[in-house]
Amino acid sequence: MVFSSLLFVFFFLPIILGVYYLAPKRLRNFVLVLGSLLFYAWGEPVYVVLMIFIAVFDYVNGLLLDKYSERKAIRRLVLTGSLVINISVLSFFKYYGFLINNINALFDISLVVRELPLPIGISFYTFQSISYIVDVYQGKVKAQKQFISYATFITMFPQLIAGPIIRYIDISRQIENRKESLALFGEGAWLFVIGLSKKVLLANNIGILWQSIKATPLEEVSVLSAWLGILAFTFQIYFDFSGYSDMARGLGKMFGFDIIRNFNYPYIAKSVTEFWRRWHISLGSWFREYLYIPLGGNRLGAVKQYRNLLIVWFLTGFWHGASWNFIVWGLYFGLFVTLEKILLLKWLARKPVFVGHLYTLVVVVVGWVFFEFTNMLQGLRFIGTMFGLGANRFLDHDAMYYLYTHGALLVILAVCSTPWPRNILKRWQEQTKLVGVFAIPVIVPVLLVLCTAYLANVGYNPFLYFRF
Amino acid sequence: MEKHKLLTKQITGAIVVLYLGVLTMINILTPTKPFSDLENRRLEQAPRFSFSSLWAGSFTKDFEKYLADQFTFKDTWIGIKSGWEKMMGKKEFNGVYIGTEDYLLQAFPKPEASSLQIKMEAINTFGAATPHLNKYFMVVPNAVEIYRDKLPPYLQTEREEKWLAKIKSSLQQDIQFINVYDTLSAQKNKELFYKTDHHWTTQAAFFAYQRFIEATGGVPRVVEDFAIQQASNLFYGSLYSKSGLRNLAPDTIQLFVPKNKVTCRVEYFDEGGPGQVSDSLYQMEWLTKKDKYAVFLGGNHSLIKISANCSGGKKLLIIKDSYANCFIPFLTEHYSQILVVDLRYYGDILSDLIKDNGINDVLFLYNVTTFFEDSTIESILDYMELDNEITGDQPINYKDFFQQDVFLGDSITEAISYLGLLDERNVCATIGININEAKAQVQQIQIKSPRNIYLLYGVNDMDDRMPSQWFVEQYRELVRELKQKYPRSQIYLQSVLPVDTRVEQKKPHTNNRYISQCNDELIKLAEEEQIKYINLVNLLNASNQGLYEADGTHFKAPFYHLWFHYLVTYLGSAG
Repeated sequence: MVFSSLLFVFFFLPIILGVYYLAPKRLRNFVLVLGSLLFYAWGEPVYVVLMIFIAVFDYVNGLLLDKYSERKAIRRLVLTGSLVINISVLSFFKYYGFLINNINALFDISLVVRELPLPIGISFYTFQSISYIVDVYQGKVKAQKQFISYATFITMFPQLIAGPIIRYIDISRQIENRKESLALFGEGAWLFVIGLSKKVLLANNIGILWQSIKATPLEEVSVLSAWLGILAFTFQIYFDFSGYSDMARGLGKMFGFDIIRNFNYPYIAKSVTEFWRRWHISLGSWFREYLYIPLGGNRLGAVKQYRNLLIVWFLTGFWHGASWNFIVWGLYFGLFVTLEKILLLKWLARKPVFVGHLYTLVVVVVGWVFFEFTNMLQGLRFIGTMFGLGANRFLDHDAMYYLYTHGALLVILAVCSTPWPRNILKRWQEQTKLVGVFAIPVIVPVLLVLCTAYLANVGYNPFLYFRF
Repeated sequence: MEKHKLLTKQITGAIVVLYLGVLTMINILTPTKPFSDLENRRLEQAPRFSFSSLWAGSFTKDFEKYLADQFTFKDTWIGIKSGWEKMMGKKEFNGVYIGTEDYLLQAFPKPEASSLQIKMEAINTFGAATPHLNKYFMVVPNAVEIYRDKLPPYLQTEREEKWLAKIKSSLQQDIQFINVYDTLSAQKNKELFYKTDHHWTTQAAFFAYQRFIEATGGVPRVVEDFAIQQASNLFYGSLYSKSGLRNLAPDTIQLFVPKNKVTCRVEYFDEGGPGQVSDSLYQMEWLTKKDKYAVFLGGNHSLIKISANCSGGKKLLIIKDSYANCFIPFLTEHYSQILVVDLRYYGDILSDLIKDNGINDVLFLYNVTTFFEDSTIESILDYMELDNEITGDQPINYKDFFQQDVFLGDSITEAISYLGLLDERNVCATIGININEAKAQVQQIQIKSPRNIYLLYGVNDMDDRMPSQWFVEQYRELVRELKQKYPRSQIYLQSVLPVDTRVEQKKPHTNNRYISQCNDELIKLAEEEQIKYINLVNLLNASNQGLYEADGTHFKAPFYHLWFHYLVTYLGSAG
């Protein structure tokens, strides 16, 4: 089930909210788990078993770590077992086909690939499980004794299928004891409506522009069209993914949880390093916490640091999909981050601010070409077109038509990529009483009506981050 | 300050609860509607729950369709969406451009060159087979061509003019091409097309009529010979529905009533046989319904016979699409009998019709878009009993041919008996059946020991979220069960039929890539199980989208003729 559907907004959500708030406090986690399983099983009844298995498995591992708190050998065994199983499950369902295909290509043999559909959310819940076990192992947090409480953490539907990747340590207290209130609900509702609007009103609409440019044979794409197209994708992926994260956070608050921020206006970053501190924050911090630092981080000398960076960025790319282009995409960012560590950041610091902005945007936007084209040769040809290396014209009627019909939307997208709208709203709230109190309550129904209008027009509604 | 913020949050929370709660309640309490006039299709009904449908994933899919189809105030939501997008500068709505003066112009999809060739060959062969007839060919350009100066700036569209020229140049000399492109272009400051509908206006049809009569050597009437009536000024046509745009001015439908009154008799024939008889070319009751253009001859029928008492006594056959409907009334002063055939619905033999009625002239009248989309024109020869030197085909009685055979399948197969191609005993089909439920049908076969068994499944299983192996393995079980019960029957496995490409855009999980993957594996299955595989995919190429029903997965009657014709040919050649 996706959030941006009639089924979710006008069927599942009202029902689960109703049941949740009617239930006595001690049953609320149970209601959430049950609802989450239904939510997950709706489109994929088989794989819910896999998720329950992982939940039970690491719940038991947590108990074992707790029980043998003094026995180092057993603890290490439990940790290793948990890591092996979690990573194996993820690898088997996500990377098996990719691996076999590459072995086939390398050795010129033809092993049969059984194409399995990817279990939704597997990249998220396995990472969450790992974070739990590692934190319990390191004694940062106590093991959860109640299965329902642990299952609440793993299965919680707001973040189940597209993150953010929540760490148990951040949320353990809320699972046991949280305070729902109308005000917190309202805060969550606002975030949910904003997220839904980002996805439905902005991302989907600009996605149509990218689809039509992508569908045009590359020889007929002008330089301007190519840039418009990849810019459209740049906006689409941000508003799609961050919209989803906003909805997750909002839903979390509606049920009394405080889920971490996953995006912080990434496109206003002044360097690639900063971009990654603002983009998909929970993934970046997961890799830092559970991979980069355990590998030694920057404490073991320069050579090892570069090795660690290479591993982290390779896996960051690979996490996004089982295909070479994602790996290239990850390493591409790794390269810029490393260069910035060595000298670029110092150089940028002496330049006017806009140089940093421009440099970052170009790197990020070109990066999306690698991300979007599974066929890398096509991706490179597209980049060639963007920089005028093809025989393409600079400007044509198509590009003018795209600008004419999507110009207004592009302006809105650009403005909404910055903190301006938020800051203006804040200033209103601080300065004038009446406008301050009623600005959001007026905006919310307008956005809700528009979103409903789009949802009622079911049709073009692909969800970009669904298969990760 | 903090107090205000708290208040804001509380009000916001209350508003959202109220909004979701009220709309959800209205949705649950509103009774289920069976049909949508605006969308002109049946709406999805609440699916019946069963564990097998839940497991197969069809229950959840159907439930979502049901929720979407029955969503309350749907028309209002559609209007809000398109209105917002129009405000944002969008110019294209579901294949419809919005031009200046709020003109809606339907996009002309670029045709396949091969489709042109096949159609022209069929028409030229028809021409060669009917040397004693005068043949005229009129293909009408659409608004998007004639009114291209109303299109949004910078928009590049496929030119219909180019394709009209191609049609003209590949037409045999024996068939006279009537160039209405020039006629309409010269008059483009007049209202030649409806603003909200894809048809031409009566005014445009009048100009074309003059051109046609001149081409036949006659003298057309002039505009002064008609009293122009406004039949309706509240017409919202097909493009209004298709685009979803609201708040547009309605169109006016005009009738050109001859001052010199002609009496005529109009007989309608549909698939069920002869129908209504009337003395008017207009069916005024349609003016109170949604589809007001059907005031002309009551819309499309498989055959209409019009007899008029006029001098001269020439007889005309029109093979046409709906553009002809408002054109035909002009002809009653020139022909004593007019036969109107719509190949999309017609199932009888054309050559008999021509012979029995003593036809002199034949006019093909199509608009460019339908001409390329509708594949029934390609099979026009199937409706002809031609001399052997031309085709050699004899009409086949399918009921005899398949007397000892049985067709197993879903709703697509079910229509075989519904359309009367075969008796019910030869068809064992269940609407909405999934492949895993098909084994139950084996017990329902009525033929004692069928000679041949034809299988066709898949319409309810095509969802690329399911592994294709699942589909094929279920299919294998069915085949094995059949082999066990009917060891002496020959089993034919027919390919899963592709869906209309427009479905793929609406439902990305139902796509032809997945279908062709399933078919590849069915071919392997047929090999492994040593049964025959019949490839039906080629019956449905890009040019014959017209064979599909509106839902894009089911088929209209002409498809069944193509299909059975192909089966008989295939079985003949396979021995």
